[in-house]
Amino acid sequence: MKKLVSILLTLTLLFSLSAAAMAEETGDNIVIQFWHTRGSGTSYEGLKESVDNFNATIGKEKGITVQETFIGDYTAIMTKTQLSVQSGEQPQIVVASNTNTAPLVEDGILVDMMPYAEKSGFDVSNLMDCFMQIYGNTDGQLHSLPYIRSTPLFYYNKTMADAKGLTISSNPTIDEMVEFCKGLYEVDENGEVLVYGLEIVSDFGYFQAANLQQLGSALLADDGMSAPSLEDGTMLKVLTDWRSWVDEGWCRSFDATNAGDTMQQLFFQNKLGGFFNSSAGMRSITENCAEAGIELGVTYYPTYDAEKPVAEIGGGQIGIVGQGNSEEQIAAAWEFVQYLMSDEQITLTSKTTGYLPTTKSVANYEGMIEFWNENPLFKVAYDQLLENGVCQEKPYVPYLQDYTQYCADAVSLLIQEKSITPEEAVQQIVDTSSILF
Amino acid sequence: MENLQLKRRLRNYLPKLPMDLLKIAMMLVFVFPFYWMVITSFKPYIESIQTPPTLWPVTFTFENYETIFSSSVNVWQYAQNTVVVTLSVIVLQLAIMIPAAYGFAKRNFPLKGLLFGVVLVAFMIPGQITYITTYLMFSKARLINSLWPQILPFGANAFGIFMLRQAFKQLPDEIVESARLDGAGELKIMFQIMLPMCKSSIITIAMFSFVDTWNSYFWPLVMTNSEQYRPLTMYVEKIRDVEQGLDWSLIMSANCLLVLPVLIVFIFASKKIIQAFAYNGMK
Repeated sequence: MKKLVSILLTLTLLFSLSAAAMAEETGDNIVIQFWHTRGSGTSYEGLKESVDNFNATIGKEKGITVQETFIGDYTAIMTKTQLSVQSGEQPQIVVASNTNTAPLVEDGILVDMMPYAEKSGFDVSNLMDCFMQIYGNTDGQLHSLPYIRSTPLFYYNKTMADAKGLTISSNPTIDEMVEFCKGLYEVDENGEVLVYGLEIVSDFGYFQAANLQQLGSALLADDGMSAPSLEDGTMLKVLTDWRSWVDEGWCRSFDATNAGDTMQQLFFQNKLGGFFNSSAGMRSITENCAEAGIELGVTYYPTYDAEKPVAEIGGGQIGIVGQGNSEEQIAAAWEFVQYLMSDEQITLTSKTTGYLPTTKSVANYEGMIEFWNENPLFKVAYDQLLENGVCQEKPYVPYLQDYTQYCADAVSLLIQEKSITPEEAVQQIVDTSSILF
Repeated sequence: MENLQLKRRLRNYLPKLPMDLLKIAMMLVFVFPFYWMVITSFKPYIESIQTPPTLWPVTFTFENYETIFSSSVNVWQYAQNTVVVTLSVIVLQLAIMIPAAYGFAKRNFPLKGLLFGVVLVAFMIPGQITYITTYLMFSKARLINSLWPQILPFGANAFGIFMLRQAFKQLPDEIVESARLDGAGELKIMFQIMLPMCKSSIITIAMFSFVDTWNSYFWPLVMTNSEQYRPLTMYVEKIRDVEQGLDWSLIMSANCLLVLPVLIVFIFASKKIIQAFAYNGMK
């Protein structure tokens, strides 16, 4: 028995050592490491399909093998990329959030893809205009391409609205949305809330920043040296409205942890009538609504000013890591990036997630049209991007994350604890952010 | 008569009742999260988020496990990596730890005290401090994309050496001396005489290493750049795709797969662990 155990342990060690030393069979192909943020579900299946198709077609023809690796969220991928470049273990292709793209460009990590685009005849003008406003893509350069971009939408329970005879337009104003959500609000005879009309989570760079722009102001000035909304009264208006909606009872205060997830859980249980969320969640939200027996309704992100609708664009850009990679690897990486920008692949990404189709031509692509005809809700985000021209890329401000955290701290006291007034919340943001300006 | 006996038993038991109730309450506190994890893994998503929650699945489903095993993500690759890394670490640790502990406990050699001090220092230094230097070391050796960085840095277990040394020290020197007089060599004394007497300690240390390595998350996250070499813990992280929403029933199914082997090992080894701490006077 002892001998058997010893033999087994030795074999395990030997097996592990051989497995550890084993390199993946890629023949003479150039291997491209592709780091991404799409971990599971249909989102991952879609990504895997893209990679497998490329390897089986263009990759096979040109001797390129793409290996995809899920790294984590945008913060994890940013940290890991910076660390890997320092140690020489960098990937060739990386997905970074739109706000993290600028530091990667500034540090010289992302390569300018424009020469490769020109050489291969890639039509940069086919990209939706707003994506060329991102840091690193102006002045004739192309440091990143829109891969998994999203925009906020208003999601609502259409089954509930229909039962109450409520309707809302496809591009509502804030006032229209407020009336609609008040109509969805339900309490029992004891005053206990059965259904909240709306929940808003604190995401200043995404939701609230757009509200400020709709009011003619900005979260931060383009040069990053001031916060106009703190001085012109627009931040006070947005916070005052939010607080009054919560005080009136029909708008639910967001949770301290996992706020977005808890909010959606309430929605699927018919305890919440509407919420703001990224278009990126469209696939999972529609699937969960179907399971819960809810018909989903979706509109553009509501605006304060019907004449000036604005919605931010978030999500991830894709870029090629220049540092530490050979010209041959960069050229091979471009082949894959270019492939991902084809209408076929953009359609696949959008179908499996809800991320924005990012080119102009995709609107005429047969596969996309067919999908939109069957799933019209998936088109709402694209229409918002296209028709209104409202989606805007944020200017690069190095301390955006710090500033939005100061805003979130104040909002936590204002909305969750209700321990300060909107005026005090604005003052708190002024005080805490003064160190930045 | 029977009633009297029953009453006497009850009277004797009553003072113990509060303590037993407390034990049951404590047990529930520890067991409930596991129970919750298991039943959630058999619920459909909508039921898993329901409030008030159901204490037993109304719709009992294996769908989450089917999703895990039918997905494009090769969960078996993750499981294989975890098994290989865990067993390799345990084998390596035992191979290094036993001679080291025996030497410190029963042999005399120059700088013994200083070297044992070095072991203790290694025991006290938080692992996090060594992350970056170890990463750079393996990176220079071009070993990042392999299982090596998950195995080699854990080959020497300072806590294990310390604990096993204490166990060896408790055995009388006369046993070693009489074995030597009978012509036994050091290897024979170590493996055939000393080791069987310290079986509980060995199992305990191996058990701790098993749990540590099996549940390791941060180290593989830093040290691997490819899913080909990632363990099961990273699989659980992978299905926590936040932007697409958290699917708790799926996450709990993956957690069950991750935790089950640890529970089985613990059930079999728990007696030995208690013995080891009792013998070493560490309880």
